[in-house]
Amino acid sequence: MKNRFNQTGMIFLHTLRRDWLKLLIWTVALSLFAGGFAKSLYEMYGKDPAGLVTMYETMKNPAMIAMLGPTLATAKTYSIGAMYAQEMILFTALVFAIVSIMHVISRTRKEEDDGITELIRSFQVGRLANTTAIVLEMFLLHVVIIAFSTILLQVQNIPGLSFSSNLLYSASLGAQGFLWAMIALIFVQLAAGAGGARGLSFLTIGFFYILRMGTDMSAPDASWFNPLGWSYLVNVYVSDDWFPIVIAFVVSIVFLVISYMLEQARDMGAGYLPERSGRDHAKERLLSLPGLVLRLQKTFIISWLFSLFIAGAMYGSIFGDMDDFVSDNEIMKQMFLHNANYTIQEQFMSVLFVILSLLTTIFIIGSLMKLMNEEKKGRWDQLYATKISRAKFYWYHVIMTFLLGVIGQFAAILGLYLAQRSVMDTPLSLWEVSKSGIIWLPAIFFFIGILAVLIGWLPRFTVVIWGYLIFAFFISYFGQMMDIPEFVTKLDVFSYIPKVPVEEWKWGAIILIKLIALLLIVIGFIGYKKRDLVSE
Amino acid sequence: MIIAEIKGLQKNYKSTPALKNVTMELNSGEVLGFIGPNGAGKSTTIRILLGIIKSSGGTAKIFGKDVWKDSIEIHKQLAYVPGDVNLWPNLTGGEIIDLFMRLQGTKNNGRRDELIQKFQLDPKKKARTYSKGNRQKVALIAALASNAELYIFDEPTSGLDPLMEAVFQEEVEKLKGQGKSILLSSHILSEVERLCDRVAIIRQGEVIETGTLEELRHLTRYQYRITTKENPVGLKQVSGVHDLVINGNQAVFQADSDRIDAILEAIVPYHVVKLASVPPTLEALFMRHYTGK
Ligand SMILES: Nc1ncnc2c1ncn2[C@@H]1O[C@H](COP(=O)(O)OP(=O)(O)O)[C@@H](O)[C@H]1O
Ligand SMILES: [Mg+2]
Repeated sequence: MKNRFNQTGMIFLHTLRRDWLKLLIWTVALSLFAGGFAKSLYEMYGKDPAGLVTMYETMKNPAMIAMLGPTLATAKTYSIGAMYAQEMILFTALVFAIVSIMHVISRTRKEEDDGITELIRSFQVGRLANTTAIVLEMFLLHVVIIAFSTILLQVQNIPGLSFSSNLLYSASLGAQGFLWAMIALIFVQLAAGAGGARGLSFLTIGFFYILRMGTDMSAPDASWFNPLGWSYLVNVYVSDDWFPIVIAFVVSIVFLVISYMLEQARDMGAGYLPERSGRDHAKERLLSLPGLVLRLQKTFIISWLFSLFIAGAMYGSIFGDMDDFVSDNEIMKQMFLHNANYTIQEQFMSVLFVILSLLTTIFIIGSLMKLMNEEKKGRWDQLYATKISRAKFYWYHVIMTFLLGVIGQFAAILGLYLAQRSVMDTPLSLWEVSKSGIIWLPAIFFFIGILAVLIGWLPRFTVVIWGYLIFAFFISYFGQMMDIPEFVTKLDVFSYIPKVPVEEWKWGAIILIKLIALLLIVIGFIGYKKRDLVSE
Repeated sequence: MIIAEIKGLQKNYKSTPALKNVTMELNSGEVLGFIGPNGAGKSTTIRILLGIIKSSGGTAKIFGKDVWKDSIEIHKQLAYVPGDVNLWPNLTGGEIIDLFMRLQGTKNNGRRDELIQKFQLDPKKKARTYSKGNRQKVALIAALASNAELYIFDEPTSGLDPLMEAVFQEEVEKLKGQGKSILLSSHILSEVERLCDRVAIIRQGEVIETGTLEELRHLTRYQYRITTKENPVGLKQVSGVHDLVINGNQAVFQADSDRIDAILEAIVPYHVVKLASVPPTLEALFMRHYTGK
C-alpha cells in the first residue's frame, strides 16, 4: 500500500514550487471575490432597513433566484449578511468550482496526455503520488482561502457580521472548491483525455446549476441532494448551519476514495469511458476557410452569445423593483436620478450598456485574436501554401468579427429586453432598448480597428489591446466617481458615445468613429499583407 | 525546363542573417535534395519559397513567377509538407486531410483512402491524440494525394518509423515517375541517395555546393591503398596527394580526382602489386561539407 504513495511528499513540494505564483494569485483573487464586496454592499443597502426590505422583494423575483439562488431568511431576518450571502454565495461557489476543475485537470490528466506523467512514473514514484499531491495542494489552498476570506470579512467590521458566521460563509465556499476538485478527479479517471474530463466536469456543474433553478423554486428540499445546494443551504448569517459543510466534506472524501480506486485499476493514459471516435471524413461545410474558422470558434461563439444574453437578462430582471428600490436609497438616487425627464429604468439602462458593450468587446477581441494565435501556433502555414490569399485570411476574420460584434450586442439587448418585459408593468419596447445598445457598436468596432493595426504591424504585441480594454473598463466604471483628468478620459473611445436615451443620439461622433475604425482596419491590412508570418 | 530558380536569396532577422546567399535551381521532373546541418537555413528558404516570409534580398521564382507577389498563382500547383506539422487539436485527422485537399484544390478520394491505408493512419482520431509521426502522416497524405506540379517536403520523415519512411520513399518515386518536380529537405542520407537526382548543400545560410551525387563525389578525394615492391617514397613529392601514410611497401593516401594521371605515373616505377580505390562515402561527403573541412 505504501508503494502507491511513494514520494508523495516530494511531488507535493515540487507541485508547490511549480504553482506557487498561481496559488498566490488565486488566494488573493478568490478571497477578495468571496469577502471583498461586503463593505460596499453594506454602504449601499445595509444601512437602511427599508433598503433591505426592498432588496428582499427584489431577490424573491424568480429570475434572481434562478441566477443567484434562494435565501432561507424571511423579510424580518433578511439582514445585511443574509443579503450578502444570497447575492454572493452561489455565484462565488461556481467561480471556486471552475478554478478547481481547471487546475486539477491540468495537473493530472493533462500531464498524463502530454507524457510528463510517464517520465515521472519511471522514477520511484507511486501510482497515486501525483494525485495525492494535487489533493493536498487543493486542500491547503482552500484552507488558506477560508482563512483569508474570513479575516477579510472580519476587518471590514460590518455591524451584524459575526466572526462565526464569516467563518461559516468562507468555509462553505472553500468546501465547494474542494468538493468540485474531487468531482473533477473522478472524471479525470473516467474520461479518455483532459479535454473529455474538462467537458464532463463542466457538464456536471451546468446540470446541477440548472437542476437547482427548478428545485429552488418548486421543491427547496431537493437542493439537499445537489452539491451546489450545499453552498447556500448553510443559511449563513441567518441560522448558521454547519451540516451542509460536513456533507460536502464527507462526500469529497468518498469521491477521493472512488477516484483512487479507479486510478489504481486503470492503465496510464487510458480511461473508462469509450473514446468517441470522430468523423473519418469532413462534412462539406467545414471545407472552406470560413467553414473552418467558424468550426474552430464554434464553442467560443456559442458560449459567449449565451453569456451576453444572460448578462443582459440579469440586468433586465431587476428593472421591475427598481422604482421602490431607488426611491428608498440615497446613494442609488444620486447615481441614477439625474434627470427627471426619464424613468429610472431608462437612466439605468443608458449606463448599463457601457458594461454590456465592454463585455461584447471582450468577446470580439477574443475572436479576432484567434487569427493571430493560430498563426503563432503554426497552423496557418499549410493553408498559406494553398491558393488562399492573405487578403482572404484577413478579411474573413475581420468581417466575421464585425458580425459577431453586432450579434453579440443584440444577444445582450435581447436578454435585457425579454427580462425587463417579464418584470415590468409598462416595459420598454424592443426598439427603445436596441437604440440604447446599438449606439455603442462604433466603439466596439474601434477596438477591432486597433487590434487590426496591431495584427498587421506589431504581431508580437497584440496583447496590448487587452491593456487598452482594461483602461476603458476602468474609466467607464470609475470615471465618474474619481477625479480623472479630462484628457485621460478622452483616450477612452467609450467616452465619446452618447448614453442613449438620456443623452442625445449623435450621428457625427458615431460616423466619425466608424470611419476611423475602418481606416485602422485598412492600415492593418497593408501591414498584414507584407509581413512575415510569425511563430512562437 | 526550370521549375524553381533561386538566386542570391537572403533573409535577415533583425540584422542577424539567416540566409546569406542561396542559389539553386530545380529542374522539371527532378528531385532536388536540400541538405545541411540544423539551423543552416533550409526551412527559412522553403518558407520564403512559399511566400510565408519575405526575402531580404535576391530573387526566387517558381514556374517563372515571383514567389512573393504571385504566391497564389504558384500555390495552385504546389503541395507542401512542413517540418513541424501543427494541427487543430479538436478536428480529426480525416477532417483535416479533407480540408487540406479541398483548399489545395484536389479531389481524389480513391487516392486519399489508399494513402490512409498505406500509412496506417486512423483518421477518426482527434489530432490532439496524434504523435509527431501521425501529424506528419496527415500532412503527407494530403500532399501526396493532391495533383500538384511541385512538391515541397521539409524533413518529412523525421517522425516516421522506418516502415513508414519506406512507404514515403515509394510514393515519392511514383511521383517522380509521373514527371513531378520535388524539393526534398532531408537529413536521412539513404533517403537522399535513393531519391534525389541532384543535391544542394546549405551551410550557415549559404548554398555551398550543388550537383549530382556523382559530381559531388568527384569534387572530393578518393582514397587509394597501394602495395608496391619498393617503398614508394616518391609519392611525397607528387602534388594532389594528401594524408599520405607510408608503411613499408604499403601506402594509403587521398588523391585529388584531377591529378590521378600524374599520381599513377609516379607510382609505376615502384612496381605496383595491388591497387584499391574507395569512393568517399556519403557520410564523408556530408561531413566534409557540413564542417567545411
Ligand atoms: N523567426 C526567426 N527569428 C530569428 N531567427 C530565426 C527565425 N527563424 C529562423 N531563424 C534562424 O535562422 C536560421 C535558419 O533556421 P532554419 O531555416 O529553421 O534552419 P533549418 O531548417 O535548416 O534547420 C537559424 O539560425 C535560426 O535560428
Ligand atoms: Mg528546418
